[in-house]
Amino acid sequence: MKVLLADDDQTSLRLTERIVAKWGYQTITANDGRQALDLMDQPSVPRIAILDWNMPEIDGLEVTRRIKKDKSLPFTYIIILTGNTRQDNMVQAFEAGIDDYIAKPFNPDELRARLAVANRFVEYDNTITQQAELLTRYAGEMHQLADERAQQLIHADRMATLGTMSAGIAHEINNPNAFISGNIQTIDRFWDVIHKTIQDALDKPQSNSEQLRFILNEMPNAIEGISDGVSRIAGIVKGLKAYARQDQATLKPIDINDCILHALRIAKPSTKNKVNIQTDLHPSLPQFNGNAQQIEQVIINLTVNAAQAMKITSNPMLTITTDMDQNNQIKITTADNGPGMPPDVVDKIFNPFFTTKPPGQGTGLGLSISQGIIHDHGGKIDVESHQNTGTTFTIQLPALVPETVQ
Amino acid sequence: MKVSLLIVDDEIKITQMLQRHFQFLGFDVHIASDGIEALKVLEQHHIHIVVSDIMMPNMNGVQLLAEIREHYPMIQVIMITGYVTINNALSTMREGARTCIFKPLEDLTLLEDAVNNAVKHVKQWIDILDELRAMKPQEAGV
Repeated sequence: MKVLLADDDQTSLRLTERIVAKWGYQTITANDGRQALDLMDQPSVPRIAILDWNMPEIDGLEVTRRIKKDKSLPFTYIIILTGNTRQDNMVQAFEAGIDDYIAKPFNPDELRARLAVANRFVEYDNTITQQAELLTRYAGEMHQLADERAQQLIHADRMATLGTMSAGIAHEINNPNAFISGNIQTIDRFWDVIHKTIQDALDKPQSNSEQLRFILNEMPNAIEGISDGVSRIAGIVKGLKAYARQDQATLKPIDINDCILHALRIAKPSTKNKVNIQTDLHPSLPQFNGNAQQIEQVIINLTVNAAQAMKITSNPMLTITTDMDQNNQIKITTADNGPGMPPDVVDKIFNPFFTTKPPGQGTGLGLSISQGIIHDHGGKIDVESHQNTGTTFTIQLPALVPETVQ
Repeated sequence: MKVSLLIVDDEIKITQMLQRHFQFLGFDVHIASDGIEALKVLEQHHIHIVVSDIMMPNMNGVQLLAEIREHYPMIQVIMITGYVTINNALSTMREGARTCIFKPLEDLTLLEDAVNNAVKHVKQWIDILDELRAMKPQEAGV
């Protein structure tokens, strides 16, 4: 413990220094108030100060006031040395901020005892300061956690709302879509008859033959346009239904490698001639408790997405790997060598209805549903993408622990 | 023989669309907007095939199906639904629907095929009954 001693009386100062040093304290000395204040401005600041009351220019009380006022200093225990202990003076001293006083000439044993008290106070202060720092850090961490949790909850809430709403929305959209779709198919059948009739009429001289020819040409396009719109709406409805997932399938032990191979067979029509798919499957992967169709749906989604993303990539490759880590997690990675995605796109790819595909070519629900499926299975899905290098999705799923396999 | 169809759906645009479509295909088509109305039509007209929605006010499709099974065993019933659940599909199967087709009816040929299959089934029985009538004319009037 470092002790600052300040006294303009050199003899008294040396004497005090000697006995204080003898008790094991580290000492520094000042001959007046200004020097005392200067000594407070150093890296290893003294925590106890024994100041003489009467010093020229800046007296002990003023030094005390300045030290106590300086917020950059840690707590400093100040003992004032006084030759005058009349009550009014002491009140003034305590008001200035001193912690204790000793009347001169002092008894060394008393000073030693009072220094011990000072020491105790400084240690209390250190403990309190440490605890406070710790608490501030905890509070900061808690605050950050709360923020993260809030974000997750907002996300979860949006998902949940979308989930409950989607069943209703799907049903509401289904009816109008059914009669648009049905009518257009009826018109399509009508059209065969109309087409033949108009064609026959055109063979005779007609005043509006040009218009009729236009209709003959354009009607199929108009019908196709409406059909297209209907199919798109139907696609969205199907996606929404996947959210609602009214058919909660039961989980059973499945082989992830089998799922991947099956998914690749299903995805083949959309991927063949578009991407070279390589698999590197862990030969003794433990089983996983899940819904095979849903896991396959995720793999198909990732595979088809990769194929679409690599349309203009030369030598497009997709590598699907399965592995196992020490924490009993099954790891599936799908790595492509496509164009990658900019960070602002990566941030949004799991958001419902977010798509980079041209209008009508994607509902923007695929990855969002995939994420939902993986979360429902107690796993997580992450993405890492670098522009011009490729995109890698990593899925982690909890393996079935051997004891639970009956 | 003209096959008669009853389309039941609370969404009038859907009944109109299906009516138009099947009329064009040569069917005699009646429509109703719920189960109760459908039963009234069945009392007044000789219907061969019923195409019914499931979720409807007053009397839903499954209840209508049960009524038809009890009182009109010859009528073939095809369910259509936009509310696709295992429960809906199972209950229509249990009550003896020929099949269950899901909205939004993106491909009407599915429904047409179901109706045509039902027609085949109905015609088979009509032929058998006709044959029986021919054999025992005194019992005609089934």
